[in-house]
Amino acid sequence: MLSPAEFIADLLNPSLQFLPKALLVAVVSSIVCGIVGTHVVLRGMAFIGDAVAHAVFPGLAVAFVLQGSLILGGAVAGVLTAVLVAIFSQNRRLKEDSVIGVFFVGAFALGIVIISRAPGYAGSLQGFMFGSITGIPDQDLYTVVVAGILLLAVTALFNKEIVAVTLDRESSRATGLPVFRLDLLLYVMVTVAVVISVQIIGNILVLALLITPAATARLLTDRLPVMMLLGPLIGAASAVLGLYLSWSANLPAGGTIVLVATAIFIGTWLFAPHHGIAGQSLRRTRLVRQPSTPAPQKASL
Amino acid sequence: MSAVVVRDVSAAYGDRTVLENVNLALDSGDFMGLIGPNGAGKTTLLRAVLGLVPRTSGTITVKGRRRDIGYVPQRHEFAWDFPISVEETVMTGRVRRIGWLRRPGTEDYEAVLRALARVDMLGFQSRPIGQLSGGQRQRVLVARALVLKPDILLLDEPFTGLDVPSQELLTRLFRELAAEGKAVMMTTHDLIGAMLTCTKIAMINRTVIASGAPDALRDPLLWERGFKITADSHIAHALGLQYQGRATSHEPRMEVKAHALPR
Repeated sequence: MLSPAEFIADLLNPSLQFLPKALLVAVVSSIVCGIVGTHVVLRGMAFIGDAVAHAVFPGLAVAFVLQGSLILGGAVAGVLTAVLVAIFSQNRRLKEDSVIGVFFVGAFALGIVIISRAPGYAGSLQGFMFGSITGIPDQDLYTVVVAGILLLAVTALFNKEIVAVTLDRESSRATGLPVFRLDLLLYVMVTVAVVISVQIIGNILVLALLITPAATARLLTDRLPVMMLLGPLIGAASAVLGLYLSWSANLPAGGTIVLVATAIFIGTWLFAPHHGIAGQSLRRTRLVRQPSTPAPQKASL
Repeated sequence: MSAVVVRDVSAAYGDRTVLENVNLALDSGDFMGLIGPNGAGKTTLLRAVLGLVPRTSGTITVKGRRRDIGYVPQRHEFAWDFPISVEETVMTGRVRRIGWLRRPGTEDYEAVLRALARVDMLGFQSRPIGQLSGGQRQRVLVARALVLKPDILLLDEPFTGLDVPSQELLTRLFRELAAEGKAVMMTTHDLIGAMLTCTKIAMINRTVIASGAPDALRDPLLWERGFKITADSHIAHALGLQYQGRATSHEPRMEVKAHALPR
């Protein structure tokens, strides 16, 4: 096990250049996912997040086979699938989750078939599924940072409209908000957040970055701005701590980061100041212990 | 003056016709109760006026712009678990007015406060909506609809599941709004309340069975057609229906009591 100081030394070691790059990508990804994930959690679209995460796979596979940009390939595939889902969901006879189920597994299957044509199939497949902290090209670094900043700007600019639609689609539609286009925008935002995170965390685990920090933040607050601040903070903390643990104990990075986030979620669920299970049962025992105290309402009357 | 005119409107979801040749006029100053059994098309009619349901035929004309209509959907249509305060919720009614890429200004905050004052919810601005009672929630939804100062207010079952004080507060508010010259239309299952408080009643079941002032709707045949209410129903008595020159008699009501009690 490495000490934190040794970890910092490794980060600065020129022969381990991939490590600070991995840390940067992990932190940017978790911040972006924490903010976009807030909308995903509040709208109850965790399944859509999962779908998008799987749907980027054929794009990654094509990009890998053609030696193109993984980020671009993933984004195209993800957006394409999201648009297909949005269009097919307009049919009232099918519920959206069924349409999502059809397309994301279809896309995933397509990705597997495509990548099986590539040499070194098993190794590259594992990299895509579970992430890898090595081999992030420099130009991807810039793409991730720029995409992250753009995504945060878009979230800030359209926040009030997205919130209005989440609260009440019918009334939003009645006041003339373009609900369908705002849905598409949110899907695209989720896709971009997934794509920039997928290399380091992996296709299967990326959902955790989107859902877990935002869900943890929801346990801690009843205010949206606070939630949008806490979500990325918790995500970034998980990324730093997870990468440190993974590097020093030789564990897979994606899995370790997700496990740290999961541990924070469970800890919050148990010990959150107002909503935590432990706090609630403590208050209950306190109430039981003081039965002779006169009821405060009566006193104030 | 007509605020909403519905002419020969038909609407369908897929193959299922929900509205057929509906004709209805809502005037400024009206407080109209839209009544009808479940599946009669009450909500669909409101949504058609808002332009949310494709019509298969007919025309709907609205005074002013459609998007300026105040709309209060059924309470369960709203995401009450969202982490947002009462004030921010009412502000979402102005999102379109505020415009893209802009933040609310002083005028918007003043409008929110005025709307909250009208529904008697001042002092609750920073309360998370998840902590509100059913009556308070309904009042917040009404405030959100009033925040644009609409000339037309459409409400979908605002009283369902509310206690009596909340119903009375809102009824008083709707009557006041109508007296100020707004056109107010609500769907409701409270037939007796509607007959006592609304200035106009529209009874629909796929099409309009009857509409007019409550006093013009005392013909028992209408209620039998619309709701299968017969002379021996306690509702017939409470509605004050006139059965062939006499008010509903005493005896049948006793019979109903005997039927109704064991349930």
